[in-house]
Amino acid sequence: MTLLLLIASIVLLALSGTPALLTRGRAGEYASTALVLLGAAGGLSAAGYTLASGRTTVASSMWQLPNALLALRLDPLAAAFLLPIFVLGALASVYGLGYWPAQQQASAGRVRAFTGLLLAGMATVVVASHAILFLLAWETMAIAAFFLIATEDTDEEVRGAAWLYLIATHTGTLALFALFVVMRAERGTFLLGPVASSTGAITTSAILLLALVGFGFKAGIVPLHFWLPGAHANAPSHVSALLSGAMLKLGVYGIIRIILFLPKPPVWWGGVIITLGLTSALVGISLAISQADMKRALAYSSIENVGIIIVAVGLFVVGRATGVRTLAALGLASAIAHVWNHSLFKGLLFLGAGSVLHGTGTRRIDRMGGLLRRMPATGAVFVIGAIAAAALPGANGFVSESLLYLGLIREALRGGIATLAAAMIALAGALAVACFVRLTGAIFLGVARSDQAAEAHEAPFFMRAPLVVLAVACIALGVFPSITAHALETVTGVSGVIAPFLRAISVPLQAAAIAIALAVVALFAATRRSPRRATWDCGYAQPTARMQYTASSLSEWFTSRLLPSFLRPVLRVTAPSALYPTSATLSVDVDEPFADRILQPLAARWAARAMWLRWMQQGRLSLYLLYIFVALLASVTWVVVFPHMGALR
Amino acid sequence: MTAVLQLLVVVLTAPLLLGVITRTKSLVAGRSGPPLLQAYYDLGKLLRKDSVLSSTTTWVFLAGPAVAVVAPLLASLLLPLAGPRAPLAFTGDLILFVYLFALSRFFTTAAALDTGSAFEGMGVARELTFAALAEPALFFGLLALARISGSLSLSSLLTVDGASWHRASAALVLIIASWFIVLLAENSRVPFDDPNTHLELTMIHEVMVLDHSGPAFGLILYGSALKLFVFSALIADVVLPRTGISLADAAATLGAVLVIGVVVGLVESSMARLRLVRVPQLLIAASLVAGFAVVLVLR
Repeated sequence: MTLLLLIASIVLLALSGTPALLTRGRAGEYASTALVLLGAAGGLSAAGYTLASGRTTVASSMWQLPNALLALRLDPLAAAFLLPIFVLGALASVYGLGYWPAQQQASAGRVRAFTGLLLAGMATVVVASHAILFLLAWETMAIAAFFLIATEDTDEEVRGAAWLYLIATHTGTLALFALFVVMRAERGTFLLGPVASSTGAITTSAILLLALVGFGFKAGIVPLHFWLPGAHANAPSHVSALLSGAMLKLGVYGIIRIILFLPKPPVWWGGVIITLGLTSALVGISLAISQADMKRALAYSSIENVGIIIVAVGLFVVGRATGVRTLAALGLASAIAHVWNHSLFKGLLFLGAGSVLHGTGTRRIDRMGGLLRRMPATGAVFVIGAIAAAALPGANGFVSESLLYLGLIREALRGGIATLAAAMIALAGALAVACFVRLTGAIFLGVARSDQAAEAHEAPFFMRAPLVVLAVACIALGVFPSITAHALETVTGVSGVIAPFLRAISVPLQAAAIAIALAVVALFAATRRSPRRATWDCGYAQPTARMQYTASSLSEWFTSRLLPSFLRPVLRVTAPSALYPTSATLSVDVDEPFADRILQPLAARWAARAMWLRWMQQGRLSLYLLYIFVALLASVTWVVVFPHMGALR
Repeated sequence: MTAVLQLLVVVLTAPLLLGVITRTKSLVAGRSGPPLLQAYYDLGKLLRKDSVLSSTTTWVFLAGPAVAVVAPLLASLLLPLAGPRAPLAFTGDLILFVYLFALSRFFTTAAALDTGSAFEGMGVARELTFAALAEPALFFGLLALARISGSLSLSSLLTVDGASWHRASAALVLIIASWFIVLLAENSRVPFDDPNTHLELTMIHEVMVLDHSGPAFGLILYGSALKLFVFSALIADVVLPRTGISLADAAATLGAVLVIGVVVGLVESSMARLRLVRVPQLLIAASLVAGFAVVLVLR
């Protein structure tokens, strides 16, 4: 019954784009949104019921594909990953009514159709329990996301980002093919399920490695993250929210699922996974601080958060390996909680960035400033999102990170990598504060740095409403963390660790929320009649917007002095020379170091080497038909002749 | 009861610490200096004054001072200052302790950026970077103490008994040294920042509050006194033995905090401010010192 409801919801979501695609006007969009809301409501009730009851439902039916079985399985873990998909899907769909309306955007119908497919694909990935179905859903999701990223395909940068994404996602899928083949060789079937505990260490390590590579591409684990910033920055903002808030998490889901299939892991796996996570967290946040484009900064912050989630997964593996159930529970619970929390606050931030883009027409941080007065609602919710993203008490990000810390410190009492991990996560947390103060400050505070920012307009109702919903959710989960306790205990199957901690931490959090609210109100009352004068600026009475500290100058201390040179933005300076200096130039190129400094040159060299193959590409259809014929002939020969070779001998 | 006592001690005596530091400095310099209670007079005056707001600012500008007072006050309630158990103690409270100061940092720096002033921006850039470098030192110290005591709550983790001192004295000394550096950095004291300087280009904390006036500035001043008190009390807790009698413990904490104030005053009298580019090196050194403490206790 639960599964039937979910299937119906998935079908609704898959079809949701049709009305918008068929009709040009506003009615089609409303109909599409209604379908998405209906599908999301159904899906949420199915997932919510599963999380509340802890029951697992399975269904399978024969399918007309060779080797394939239509097998579905909805367990608490799957339900946990379904929540962000449906919540963000519904909110992004509403947001799209204001952000990407059919009157202004010719691509509106297309975006709605592919968003529906993306949501349906993601939901199917989570419940698929057969490799073929999983891969079909995975590819539906990946290709729908490609078309969504390429929405504004007249722009060169967008096309580049979309192609890079397509290459990366398919490289990941190749690893998944290999993964499922290895698992089939072990299990004898493509049905996904546990691998026998007698399996050799080399095979299980190979499975884990393939999963880390295949799913790591989707999750954006450094160094497989290089496609992510461009793709998430160039997609329409409500799509970015879905990509960052929901799709990334499916990489994490895959990794957790495969780990659960494997027999008791060795401890060093946990060490490897924690190291990967720490690298992602630190590299992600370091690069986020130096970005000049607000959406790229948010995308790098997603890499940081995935890193934190991966550290939690590593802790889960350590707990499983050492047989400490509470540790495994803390690891898994903090991973899941951070998946939820990140999707809420990153969804909020990407949608907020969309409103800023809508109001100003630019993504460049250095052209903004003072938007809080022009866009009070968007600004206020963005500040809440920034507090959550910096994992500060009072918002939801802190709760999941403190669960992770609790696990890490418990493990650190026994020594090992967890000690370093706790301190490095603390460093990443402090850098996240720097990153989000910089973003909030440069975009919303101070004085407008350009005409676009000075004339920015507040977003329409349909764009503000989802933002307010997300902001309320971030604060509610931050101040009343016990809300999630039952669901987290259901997913982990261990009780008595998570709920008591969440209960204990809510007292000081609520005290903090009340005290801060009172203090702010009191200060407001005290300064209500205060006169307003120009900023003091050390006695200079006519400060201009250009005298403000910019976003680049805010991060200069960090990027040019502390960051390893590989991660620094490229500075191009032509210094004035000669006795009568004529001209000088300075430009800062904030690139993606892994893509532009390692992969690009490597790919260029390979492309040059592969030049001799060009004669094959003549662009004539007849020639390609010949290739296909030859390939067909060769495979027929192989199938027919090869088995008889042995007999001949 | 102990909760009320502890809250009273923190709320009432925090500004006294500023007076002790100033008095120490003036005695070393051979002056008589301002009265010990000068900070109280300043606060009283500021709270009575009207304020002027910058025309560019929004509600974020006022949230800064509010959070700057609330965060250290709540953090103080996580420390066992009067009695064996802090009023808000729970397992894992050390995480909240560290992150409350991060929350305060978020709002004070955002408030500074709200003015659109270049000077305040400079202060923000420095504050954010230096605080990030101080974070691992604080955390390594807490991890080492957690390991020594086998506990995840500040209340039992900070009450180091004689046996632990005997067993891990080297590590504890390293932690105290590292945390003292963190105290100086987080509270913008010499050698990181000079609270007496009047050159905006070199300041960190003071430059971020140039535009606050009247009650808002009073809250900032009070908030920084609280923060200094809480960091001193954190170190005092590690050093002090516990009697279990809340009044005696509270008095001992207060005494130790004031002694730390004297030490801060002596440091400020005996050395100059570091060049800004040297600051990160000292902070990384503090992290390494605390890291060594962890290595020692894990051995």
